[in-house]
Amino acid sequence: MKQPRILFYLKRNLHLPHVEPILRWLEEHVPEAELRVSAPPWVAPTEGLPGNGLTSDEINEIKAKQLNWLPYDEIRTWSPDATIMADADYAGLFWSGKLVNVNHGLISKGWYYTNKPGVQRENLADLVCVPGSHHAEVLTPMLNTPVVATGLVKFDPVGRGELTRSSARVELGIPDDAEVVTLAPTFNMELSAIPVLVDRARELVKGGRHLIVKLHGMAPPVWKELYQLLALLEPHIHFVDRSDLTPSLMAADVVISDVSSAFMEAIALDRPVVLVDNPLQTRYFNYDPDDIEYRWRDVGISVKTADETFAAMDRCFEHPEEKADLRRQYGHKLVGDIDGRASERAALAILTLLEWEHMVLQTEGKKVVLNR
Amino acid sequence: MPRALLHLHRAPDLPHAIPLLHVLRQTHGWSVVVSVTPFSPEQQMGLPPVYEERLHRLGIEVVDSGDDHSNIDVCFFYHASERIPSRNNILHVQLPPSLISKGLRFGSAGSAIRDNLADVQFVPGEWHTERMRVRNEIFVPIESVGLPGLDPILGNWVASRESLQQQLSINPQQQSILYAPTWNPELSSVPLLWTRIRQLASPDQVLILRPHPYASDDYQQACEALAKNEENIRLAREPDIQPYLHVADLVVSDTSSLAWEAAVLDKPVVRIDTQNRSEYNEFDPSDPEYVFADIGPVVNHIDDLRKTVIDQLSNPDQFHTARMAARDALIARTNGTSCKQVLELVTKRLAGQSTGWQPEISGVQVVLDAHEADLDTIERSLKSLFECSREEVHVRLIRADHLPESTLQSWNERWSTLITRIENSKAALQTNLPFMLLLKAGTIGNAAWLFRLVNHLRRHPQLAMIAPMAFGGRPVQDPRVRMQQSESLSDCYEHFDELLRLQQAGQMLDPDQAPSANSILIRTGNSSATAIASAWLQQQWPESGEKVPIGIAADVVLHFSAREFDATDLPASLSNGMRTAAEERVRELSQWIQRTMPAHVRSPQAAPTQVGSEIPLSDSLPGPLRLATRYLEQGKVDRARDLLNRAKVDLADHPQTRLLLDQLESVSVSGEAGS
Repeated sequence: MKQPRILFYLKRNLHLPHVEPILRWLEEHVPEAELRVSAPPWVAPTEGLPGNGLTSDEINEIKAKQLNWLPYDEIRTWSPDATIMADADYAGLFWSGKLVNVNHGLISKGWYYTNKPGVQRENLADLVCVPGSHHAEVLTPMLNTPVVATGLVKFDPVGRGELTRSSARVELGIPDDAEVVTLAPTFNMELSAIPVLVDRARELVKGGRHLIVKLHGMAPPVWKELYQLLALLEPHIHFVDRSDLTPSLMAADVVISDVSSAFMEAIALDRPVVLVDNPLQTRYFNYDPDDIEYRWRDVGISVKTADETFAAMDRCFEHPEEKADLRRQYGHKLVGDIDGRASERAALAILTLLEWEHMVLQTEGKKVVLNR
Repeated sequence: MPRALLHLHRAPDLPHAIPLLHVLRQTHGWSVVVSVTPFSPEQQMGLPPVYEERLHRLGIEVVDSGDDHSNIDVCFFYHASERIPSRNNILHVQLPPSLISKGLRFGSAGSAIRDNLADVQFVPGEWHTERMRVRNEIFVPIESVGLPGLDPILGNWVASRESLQQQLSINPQQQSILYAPTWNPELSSVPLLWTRIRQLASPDQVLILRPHPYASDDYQQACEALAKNEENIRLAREPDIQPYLHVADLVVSDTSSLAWEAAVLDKPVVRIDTQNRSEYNEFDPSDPEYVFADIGPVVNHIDDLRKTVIDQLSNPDQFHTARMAARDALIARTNGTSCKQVLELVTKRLAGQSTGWQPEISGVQVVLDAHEADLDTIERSLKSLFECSREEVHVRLIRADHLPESTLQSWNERWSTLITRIENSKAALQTNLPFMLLLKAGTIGNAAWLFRLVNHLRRHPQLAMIAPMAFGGRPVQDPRVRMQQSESLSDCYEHFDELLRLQQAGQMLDPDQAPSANSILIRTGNSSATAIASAWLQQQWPESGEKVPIGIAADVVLHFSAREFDATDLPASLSNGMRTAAEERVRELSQWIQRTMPAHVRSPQAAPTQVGSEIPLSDSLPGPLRLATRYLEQGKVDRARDLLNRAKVDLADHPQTRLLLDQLESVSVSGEAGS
């Protein structure tokens, strides 16, 4: 019998944490499967335009993780039975096999999880895995493709207790008893907290607090340079340059964000959030007040200026339980239970789609039934 | 068999490319594929769907610009961009997409950087060649070949007028008027005329509307509606412009290149002046569109337009002499053989025959520091030097004891060169060549990077060297990264950035701020060169004193240092001098980032001097309202009133019309009260 071939296709580096746990689970439980990782040819991001693919350094990192790399040009020849990706951009996929999208975001930004025609492109996939019940409820009536809520795959290390508040702090060199704020903004000029805070972010470390700055992978280079310099000037500012956001959120007591999905992740992890409303927010070309990043802002303290941000942060430290009920309510809708088994659920859904459940050596959870 | 790649960066490239693609396919031995920049109407890049469909109908393979183009011999393009393959062994040929410049071509300010990316510049006429030579900023060969896009008409391959009239349902007794405006808000006549252009259509004259591919959607829709509802109006749907030009008895335009293309075909042209053209960012009165402005009458109002058009149709020879003068200057070939000429010249060059095309290669001594670098890292820099730099480089490796002799030998064989390893680092700095590049292993450049760096020194003889902006000997990225990218995307970025870049070139900087520890290009034989080279070798920069004239490597810095953003490369602690520099840098970056924010959000120290005008306008407004909004913001009340008076007729139902009229009224009232 032919060995199943599954390709994990990374449009961008930030997708890796969303697919790697699934790959690892399959590696362990379906040893017959051939697993490969690939990406489109590298195109550098330019102002306002996202890049594509992986840099040679990023590819080397993947190889160093002992993941099997497959050059883009060889995908067609290799002919995968299924391609797993963490994005809804299906352009340029000129090979056969089933297509599965394990979505990487929690919010809409006017593109995803919204009642708009553009969402129909998800029908190109054979299976859509989403993090929470909220996303499944929005997408199921709109798509013909099956939609499965699996939980957020990249939260699995949190659910399994491998990534904790303390372990995340140790890695960043932050004391366990310190007060820690994480700044995790989005990258669009009209939406981000960065143009509002700029270098005044250094005021967040007054009084001995620590600030973790985790910029979006597509943030303009000048933003990165600014916060790298601030991290040099202020010992309590920590600039994090890796792709995975979760450790920075786990290390935090309070999270400052804007309309980034980072704030949704933060509330799912029960962190109080301060939400900066960029004054140009409504000018964003895809602005839609019905998207959850605007509808659910009551879960945090909304602010408009740097001074309001500092006051709101103090309030979060003084009253961490404020809005905790809303965080739990929304958080569950977003990612379900954080039990460390989202990748297992996603992997089983993929195997069910391919009718390969029998290949699993052992399963501990119940089988996933596909919604239609 | 020569293999060609033709890259289309902007939609107007396609009509000019179609004749060349036909000739390429018909010429024995040539094969051709096309690549296209992804479509982005906001940035005026790529092909709209109807253009893309036309390309597919041509039956030519369209490849991804990110594909491996290792088998390509020659790359034709109209606009230099980062999507053009950058290998040294591809012949890069830049073709002319128009006869005019709009401040972006033929030696205009800011174009030289891009134009030097080609191995040869093909321009339409001797006037263009002469202008580029005089400006002395282009260091690649220039050839006048005519305008290949006009070959079908000049060479009579286009269908007959009768047949085209039949296709467009034009009665042979009717005259044809082609209305072909440009798209730039400051240059386009569309905001002035809008749908009132219909007044030119009559039972005697058919009006053919040719909206620019990057014209706003609402104007394109207005054209569709006019063509559908008006008996004597047609829409030029096909991207090919040649048939519509051929069938036209007269062309109405503004500062579109089509006006001059019609003129060199000796067709009467009526141009509409736009009162705000001098506000166009790239306005340059020495451009051909202003030097050869006398090709036809220029009108300012719609009321004069119809009369002038009728006059010209009845007296088509009135401007014949001026048109022929423009033709002699602007187009070198008028027999429809420009495409053929291009291919003949390129074939000759590919066959190794002399074409006289030699860029000004000076020879650069490269000193590559391999200290603690692994073989892959060194090889990456060598590859960038030998395959992408487009300079004749002589490489000396220093601090390369760990390099096996066999590897060195294999690199010498691979690049057919002599890379020498020198133990005495100071001796490696001795050279007779005019330029010396000091490079850390791991540093790479983008297309033609070293050639462009050397060009920067050529253009600015007062500069001693060029390096990425740095403080404390550590490389940091310039906040004006936007302008660095503007090299390939200049149309998209603000004039402000461009000015900054020009001001920066040649600035005097403290040695502890510049140059970068990583990479420096030095003009040898000047007093600073030896001191700088020694400092680079020791990685120690003097703290004080002497200032060095230095250029910022704005042209190529984007990928200049492979380690620019590696936080581990920055020092763990800062000395006092470095701290001051870093604080200054933080302030500068913050100001730059906040420039687009409303005043109440800005940090007190970050507030820039200009408020309001930089907030982006809504692109969703129709052109006249967009302009009127801007004029009101700028206090140009008369201009806003003029546009709004027209909008009252054409866009009476638009909510913004009422809003702006109210604003105008309140501004006028307060103005009167003030006086």
